[in-house]
Amino acid sequence: MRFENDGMSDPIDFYRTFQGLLRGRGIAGVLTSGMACVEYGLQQNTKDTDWIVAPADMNRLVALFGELEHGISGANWRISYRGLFGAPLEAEYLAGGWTSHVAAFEQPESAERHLDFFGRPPRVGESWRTDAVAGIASRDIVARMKKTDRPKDWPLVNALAIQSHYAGDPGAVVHLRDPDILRESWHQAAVTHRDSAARERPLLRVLDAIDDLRLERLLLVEEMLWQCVNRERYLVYQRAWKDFYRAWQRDRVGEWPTSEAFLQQHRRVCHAVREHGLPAAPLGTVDARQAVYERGRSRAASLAAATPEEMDIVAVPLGTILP
Amino acid sequence: MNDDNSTGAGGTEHPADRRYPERYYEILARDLGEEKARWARLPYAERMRELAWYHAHFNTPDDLSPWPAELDGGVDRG
Repeated sequence: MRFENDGMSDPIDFYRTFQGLLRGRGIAGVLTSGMACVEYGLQQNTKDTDWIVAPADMNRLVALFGELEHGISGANWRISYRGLFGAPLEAEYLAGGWTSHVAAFEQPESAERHLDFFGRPPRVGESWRTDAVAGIASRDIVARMKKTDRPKDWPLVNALAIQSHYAGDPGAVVHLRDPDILRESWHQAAVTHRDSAARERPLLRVLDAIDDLRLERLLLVEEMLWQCVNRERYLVYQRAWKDFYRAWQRDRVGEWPTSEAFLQQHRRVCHAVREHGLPAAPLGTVDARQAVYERGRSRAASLAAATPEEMDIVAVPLGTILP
Repeated sequence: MNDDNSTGAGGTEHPADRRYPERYYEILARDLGEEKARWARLPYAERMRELAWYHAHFNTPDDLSPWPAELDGGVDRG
C-alpha cells in the first residue's frame, strides 16, 4: 500500500498552521490530547485538535477568529461555534473549567476542522505554561489530561509515562500503570522525589510491601477512582449547561449555532450565558470539589467492590484529581 | 518535564524518532493493538505520511459527546 498525500491540507498541516497563528498573535497556547499523542508516537485517528490557551488571551483568540473570517490577515476562513455543550470563548468561563468547541473551514471546499479549547484543563494545574516544548504540551500534561472517565484513554496514560521513564523523567512514577516498570521507576527515583510523588499518588507508599497481584488490583481500584471522580465532574458541567440551554431555548435560541459570522455568534452566546445564568465556575469552591470527589469515591468503591482500606491506599488527593 | 528539543516537521533527526526498549512496543501491542505498535516503530516522517493518508481517506468519529437527545437531539449539528 502506498501512502501519498493528495496535496490537500491535512489535520497535521492544519494544526501547525494554527499553532503558527497563535504564536504570531502572542497567544499563550499549546497543542494537547490526541494530536499531541500523535506527535509522541501514539497513533490516534482523530482529526480534531485540542488546545490549552491562557484564559487571559481569550479576547485575542476571538479577535484572531474574527480576522481570519473577514480576510483581514489574507485568510478567508469560515468559523463557527459547534452545537456541543460548552461555553463561549470567554476568560472567566475557560478559567472556570469549561471547554469551547469551534469549527473552521479554511476555504469553501476544505474539510471541517474541529478545535477544542481548554483554559483550565481538567486534572492540570498551571504547569502547562512552563512545561511545554515547541508549542506541544509535555507528556506529563497530556497524561494528566488523559486520566478521564473513558477507559480507552488509560493505555495512553501508561504509554506516555513509559516514554517519560525511558527518557529519564522521574515524574513518570505518578502515571505508570505497568507493574514492572512502575516498580523500576520507583526504585530508580531519588528519596526526595519519592516523597513528593507519594503525596500525589498514595499507592506508591505500599509499592514495596505488596505482591504483583495485589498491585494490579490496586491499580484497577485507583483507575476506577479517577474515572468515577471525572464522571461526577463532567455531570456537574453537563447539568449546568442543560439548565442554561433549556432557559435559552425558552427565550428564543432557534437553531444553534446560527449561520451568523463568528463574532456575531460570539456576542450572541456571551449575552445568553449572562442572561440565563450559566455559572462560570461550577466547581469554583473547595466544598463543591470535595462533594464531587466524595461522590466519585463512593461510586468507585461500589463498582470495584473495594474495601475502605483499599480506597484509603489509592486515595489520590483532591488537589491532584480536581485542582 | 520534556526531553525533546523540538517537534514538528523539518530538522534532521526528529526527537519523536527516539527508539524505546522492545518492552515498550510489546505493551503498545498488548494495550493498543499490533497496528499501533507497528506504526509507533516507524520513523516520524513515515508515521505522519501514513496518518495523512488515513485522514484523507477515512472519516473519524468525533471524540465528543453528541448533542443531548433531550435537547432537540437528532439534528445533524456536526
